[in-house]
Amino acid sequence: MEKKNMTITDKIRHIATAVVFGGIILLFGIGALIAPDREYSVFERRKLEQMPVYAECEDLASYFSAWETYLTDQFLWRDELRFLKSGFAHGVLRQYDVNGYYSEQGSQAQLLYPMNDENFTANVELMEDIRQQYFANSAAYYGVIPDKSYYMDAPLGLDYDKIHSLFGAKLQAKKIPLAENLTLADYYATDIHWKQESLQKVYNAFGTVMNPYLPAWQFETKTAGSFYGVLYGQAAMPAKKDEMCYLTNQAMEGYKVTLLNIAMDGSVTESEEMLYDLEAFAGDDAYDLYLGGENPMIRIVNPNATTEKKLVLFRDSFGRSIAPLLAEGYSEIVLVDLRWIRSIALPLFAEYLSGDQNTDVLFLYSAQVLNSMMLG
Amino acid sequence: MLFSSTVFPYWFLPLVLFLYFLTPNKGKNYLLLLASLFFYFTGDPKYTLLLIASAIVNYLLALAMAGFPKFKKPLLVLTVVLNIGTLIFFKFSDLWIGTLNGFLGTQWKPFPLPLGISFYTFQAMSYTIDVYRGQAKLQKNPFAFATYLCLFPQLIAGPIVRYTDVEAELEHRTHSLEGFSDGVCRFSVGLAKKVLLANNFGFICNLFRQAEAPSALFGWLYAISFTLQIYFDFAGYSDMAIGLGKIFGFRFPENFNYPYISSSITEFWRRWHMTLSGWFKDYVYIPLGGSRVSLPRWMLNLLIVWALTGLWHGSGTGIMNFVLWGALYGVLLCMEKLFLGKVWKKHRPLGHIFVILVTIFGFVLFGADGLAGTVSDLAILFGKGGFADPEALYYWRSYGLLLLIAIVGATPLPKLVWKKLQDRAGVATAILQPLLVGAAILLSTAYLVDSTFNPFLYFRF
Repeated sequence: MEKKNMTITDKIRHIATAVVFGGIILLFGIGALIAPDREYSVFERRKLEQMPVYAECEDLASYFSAWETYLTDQFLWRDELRFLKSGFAHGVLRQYDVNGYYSEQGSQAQLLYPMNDENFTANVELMEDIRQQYFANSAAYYGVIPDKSYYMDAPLGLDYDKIHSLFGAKLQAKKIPLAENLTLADYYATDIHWKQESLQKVYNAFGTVMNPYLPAWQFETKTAGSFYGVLYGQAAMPAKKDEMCYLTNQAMEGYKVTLLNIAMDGSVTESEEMLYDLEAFAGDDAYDLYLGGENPMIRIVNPNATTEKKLVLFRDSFGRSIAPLLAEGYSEIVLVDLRWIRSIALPLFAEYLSGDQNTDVLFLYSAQVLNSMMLG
Repeated sequence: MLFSSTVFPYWFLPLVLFLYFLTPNKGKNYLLLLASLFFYFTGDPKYTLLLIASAIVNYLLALAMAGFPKFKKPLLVLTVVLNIGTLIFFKFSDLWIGTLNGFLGTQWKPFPLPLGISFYTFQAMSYTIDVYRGQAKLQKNPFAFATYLCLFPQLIAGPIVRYTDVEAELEHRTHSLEGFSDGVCRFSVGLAKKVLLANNFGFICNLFRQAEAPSALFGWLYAISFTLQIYFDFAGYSDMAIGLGKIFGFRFPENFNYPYISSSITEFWRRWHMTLSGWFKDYVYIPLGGSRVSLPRWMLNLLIVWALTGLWHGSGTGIMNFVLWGALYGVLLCMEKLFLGKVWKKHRPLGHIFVILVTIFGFVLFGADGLAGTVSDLAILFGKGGFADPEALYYWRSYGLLLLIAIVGATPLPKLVWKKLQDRAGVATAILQPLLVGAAILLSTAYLVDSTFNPFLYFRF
């Protein structure tokens, strides 16, 4: 009798195992074939592999390999599966980071390690070259925006003392103290960027070190909406949505924002851009709210400025959110993004970059960008 | 195509299973042959013809041995020369082409190693040698022989299945729900070993290789991780192969039996890559006289076999590392036969520690980039880059639990617990088993979807 019961139990076990295995395989296998292909993954911020074309492949082996990548990229519930992996690695295996991303104190961040000395050195030397070439007679400043892990007790991270020593040794510019004027709460939880509305202390530091004409912090806070930042999809960890705000005041309403473009004949043309672009906020990258997103050359003119001072701001995406605030203390700000324009192309914009004693030049970069790439 | 890709379990396997169970018994071998050739073709299109040629040549030579008994011996020699010659031709092509380039001033490129050539060549030789010895019946059907040689579950990374292991099943095999379910379990366990454990350890090994000046702590993390990676990579693949075999009605030999619990090197090699050691024992060691010879000759036999084992694993310019790795085991086995074995018998824990240390140092030699790389890796283990660094401490902490899980997983403990559970609470396992299989498949899929292409280590050999 006992043996018979065992047999039934075994039978149930075998049937259930076969059904579970078959069910999963068929669900994902058939589901992936039925589901339409996606061109782009917003979560991963990258293009997904499309169905391979044999003529575009080097040989048969690379053709089959491309099929594997394509089917993996287009796998059913890819994003959800990535969250499952991340949840398992963090929650069960207790791994601190997964693919270099981690979460601490309710905030997500990327592990920036090891420090890329070569990139840092090259970037600072480029800044000094630009300063000497265009702004020898201008007051020069620099600010390094710490990555979030600076405030998160991350076990591995960048060596900020070393970074500031490097700047001090190679760039003839005054330091704007940023690290001590920021906290983790001043960054979005699911994004790498700082919050514009949290920059009062930073703003004051700019006023103290760089520009006495910068008026006191008087802005009205408006809400653009809630969003998931770039870290959310890449870390694939559950988190609450962030809220993005932007600051306005009466002075800002008079600003004229233009993109500087090179025409076919080599001349510079200007096209209008918005200070805060709510349509761009609804796109893939919410931070594009500020000055409409990534553009190599942007000019903000403040017609009601009480000073003739001009600021040339070499910056990354962080600069787009602080520039509207700084503009009140200048007649004009020219924003240069050396990630999108080579320094050898700068002479084309000579009239906008010309530096005199009435010009401030500011190199404002996040440590993350300085570590990960060589600018211009 | 790899077992641990999304393509294999989600598209290739279900399609083959569907067609296989739809096909009448007489046609099943043909279907498996076609599926296996397609499987190989997607992984190594250029060398599919070489695989087919190997099947044809070995089939014909065995046929000739049976047809012309007077020429059996020269035909056997021809078989061995052709098989080993092909293996040497490809495995050491960068050595001999490099030498030729040196002499002739040419710029010829070495041939890439055909996928799984070390495995299918040894399988083919097991057939022809067994036919010569009269230990295997001649297979008259060329397609049945080709099915054996090309069978996709074990084609590219073993276990080395001998013809006699599956001789009967090639003619007639039974398929059952139990076999399917057991096969699915084994496949899922193997997939999880490869994807959840081996790949993670591979990641740590890469981190070590990228570190500028790793400390001893990092070096030991690497050495332990690599030791675990190799085991779970290869044992995982063997599990998947054995599981797939069961699904299709074959019973493949076991390849690993918890090697890291061994308390002597002799025991280790009875538990590690058992089909390879068995192959060398039956086709090289015993014909050389085995242990039934004078003591010096016995030691020489052991050294020959282990140098060959090292050679089998190696290819290309890093061959010396593999020869030394094999020779290291040869020397240690000789020492165990002479005196060390008695010490380990009296002090098993000491023997166990010795095996673990030898395995770790052996795999450092195995994984290093040439002899200079070995010296450098060993120097790191002994503190060339300092005792500890923040990076090493971080990764020890971050991967500590995974290491612990893997170490426990490399012992028979999980299997014992499962067996106890089955004996005492069979109903619970009836629920638990499908849940665990589902979890293993889903988690492995999640890791696969998130990762890029991740080849098996053993494809190099």
